[in-house]
Amino acid sequence: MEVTQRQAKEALQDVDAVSRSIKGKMAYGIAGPILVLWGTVWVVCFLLTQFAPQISAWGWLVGNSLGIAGSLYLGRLRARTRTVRSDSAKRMGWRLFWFWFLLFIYADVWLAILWPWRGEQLGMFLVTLVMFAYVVMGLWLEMGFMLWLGLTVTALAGAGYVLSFWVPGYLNLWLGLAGGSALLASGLYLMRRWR
Amino acid sequence: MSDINDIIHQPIRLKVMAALFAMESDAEADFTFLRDHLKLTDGNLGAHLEKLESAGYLSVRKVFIRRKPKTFVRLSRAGRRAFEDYVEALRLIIGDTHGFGEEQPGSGK
Repeated sequence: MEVTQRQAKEALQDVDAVSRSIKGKMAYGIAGPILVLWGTVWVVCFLLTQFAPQISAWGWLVGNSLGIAGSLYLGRLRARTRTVRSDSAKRMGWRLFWFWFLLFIYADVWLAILWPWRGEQLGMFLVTLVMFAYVVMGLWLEMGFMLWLGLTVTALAGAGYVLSFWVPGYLNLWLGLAGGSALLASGLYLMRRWR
Repeated sequence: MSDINDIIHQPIRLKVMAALFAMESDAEADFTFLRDHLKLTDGNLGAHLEKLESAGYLSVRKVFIRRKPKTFVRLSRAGRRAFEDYVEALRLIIGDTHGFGEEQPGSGK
């Protein structure tokens, strides 16, 4: 079969488009619902911390428990209903699970070492830690969206922290609205884009 | 103008091969996933899969999961090599001297 330059170019464009869409679906298929879940947890819990600090510790305990249980459920659901089977992808899923599990263990150790801290410092620490994990995932797994999301939310949180020196008392509101909403909106976008 | 693999060089088969090539090398895709993702009909996809299977480019495995029949499709080693050669040939035609291994299609996000 003979192919002209134009036909070759069109065929390569088709290959590129299909390749991008498959890789996107593989990489972000589960990220959307998980981001929506954690975005909701962050918005609710940070707003609780801002407006009802007396019950915020319980709020975070319940919120984080729901987030972890929900993430595990979503991961399990995806494994059960997955339409592309791959041992290497399965191993990657487990590696990601252990990465997050160990990250939170380390976070607990660091918080114990750094005690005493203020509530705002704890909020900033956890937000930037989780966003750092997004940035690492983005770099290692070539998930550009996660990389930029991590950097953007870190920048938003950092700006709020600096501003809180001049306008104290609103950092939790800022982290909830800016950080949590960014996760929520990103999750909804990914769910729509890669459903 | 140049000679090229005419089994792969057909719009639907090209998309099927590109989709399977973009997955992990040990991945097998559900028939319905390919059908929905590539916006094809059962009959259309089935016919092209048969053609690719008879060329030795992919393997088709039928299994029962919770009493429901499922068909999984996997790119063979020969299929992977044929697709790499095909893309390389296209690049030569358009004068792109980058090797296929150096810059794979869709490597950017």
